[in-house]
Amino acid sequence: MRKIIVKLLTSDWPYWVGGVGIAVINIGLLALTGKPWGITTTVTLWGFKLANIIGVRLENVEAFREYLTRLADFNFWYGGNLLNVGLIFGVLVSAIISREFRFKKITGKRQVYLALLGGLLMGYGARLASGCNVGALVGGISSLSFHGWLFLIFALGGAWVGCQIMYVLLRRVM
Amino acid sequence: MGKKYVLDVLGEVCPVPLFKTKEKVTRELSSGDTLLVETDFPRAVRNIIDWSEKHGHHVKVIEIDEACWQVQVTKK
Amino acid sequence: MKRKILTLLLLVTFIIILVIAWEHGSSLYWAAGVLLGFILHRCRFCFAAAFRDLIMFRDGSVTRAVIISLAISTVGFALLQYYSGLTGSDVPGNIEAVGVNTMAGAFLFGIGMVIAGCCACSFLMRLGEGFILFLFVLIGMLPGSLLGLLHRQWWESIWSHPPVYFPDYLGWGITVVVQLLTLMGLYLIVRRWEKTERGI
Repeated sequence: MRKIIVKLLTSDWPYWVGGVGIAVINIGLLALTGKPWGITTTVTLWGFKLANIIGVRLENVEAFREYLTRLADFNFWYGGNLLNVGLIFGVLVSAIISREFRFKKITGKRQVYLALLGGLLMGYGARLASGCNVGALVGGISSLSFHGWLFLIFALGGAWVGCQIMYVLLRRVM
Repeated sequence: MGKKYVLDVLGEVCPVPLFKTKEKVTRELSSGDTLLVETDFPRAVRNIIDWSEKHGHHVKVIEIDEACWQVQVTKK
Repeated sequence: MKRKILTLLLLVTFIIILVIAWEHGSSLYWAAGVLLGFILHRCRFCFAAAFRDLIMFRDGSVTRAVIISLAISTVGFALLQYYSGLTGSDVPGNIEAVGVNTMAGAFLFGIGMVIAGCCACSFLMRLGEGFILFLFVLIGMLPGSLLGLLHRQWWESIWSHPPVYFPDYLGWGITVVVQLLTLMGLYLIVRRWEKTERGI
């Protein structure tokens, strides 16, 4: 019995299990908290926290007002923060018990530049579209809102352009 | 026995491991040759296995270190 | 042996945070986050892959899982929204305005996730797996988010439309049926697309 459980917890699960898992947890979150799963709102709040720490003054900017009021009661125990940190923690547990954790080396500057640029684009885009793949696409489409479908169409276009860029990079540079 | 090639993609994330594997297998290997892909990214292992099986190449995985795998793709 | 101690340590950390979060009324979020992380890692799930693998490798296995997920949550969300409509409270969910900001944002996000090799969800996963590299994605995302907030109004001023909530226009039954049929259609298109071959 013990062996079966260990085997189950450390083997690869099919993709559809992940799909069902996301759906069930998302429905649970909506039922119990009134809001579906989201990630980037909290990431934005992290940005405000960091700006505070390094001493950038953002108080007088009109566009930030809504987030600044949220920032007032933001700490480690803020729900969205626990969701994000919990996700990292869950992955860590899964990776450690199945011998898959390892500090991976960075292979070069090219990787770092791509990560920074990709992150910048994702942060900017997510704030314009009020969410990422999780909040806008899954949350929006499931909420029967048109903005989710619009996000899907344009994200697909963006991904296509991104793939063309990667083709060129992979063929010529990497 | 075909020739053996090594591809080191340690530290690389999607889509690099599968892309490079695919390029090497389809362009450089002849039938019967084996490509040894070394990766530390579990998703890449699964990706490469799926791709190889879809295209009929023989594939085998061995763990060479903790969280470090060698995927052996033999071209059909 | 070392692994057993580590696992135990993680379990204790999980419980301690769960208990303290309970005091703050947010233990549900912690439990949901950990569960999501565990499931998504075991399934190697990744939203960026749903787009990229489909385009680059004609591999739609993750895409199809996302479509299945959407079909289930559509039904669940619709029931919850319908129920809240009966009690007269606000409609729960993410219902946002549409506009040039949505289109441009999604487009830039799409480019970003392919270039970075992850989306907002999977970069958290990569961090948990031990990729230091993805801290740089986070470093990029923080100023990106603030800039996005700052510029949002400008994008909205080009064109934007108040939220379009389908049940208001089509009614409950039709909305859910049409959406499920659309998802089914997408599933079949993905299946078809996977069978096409292109030698890259």
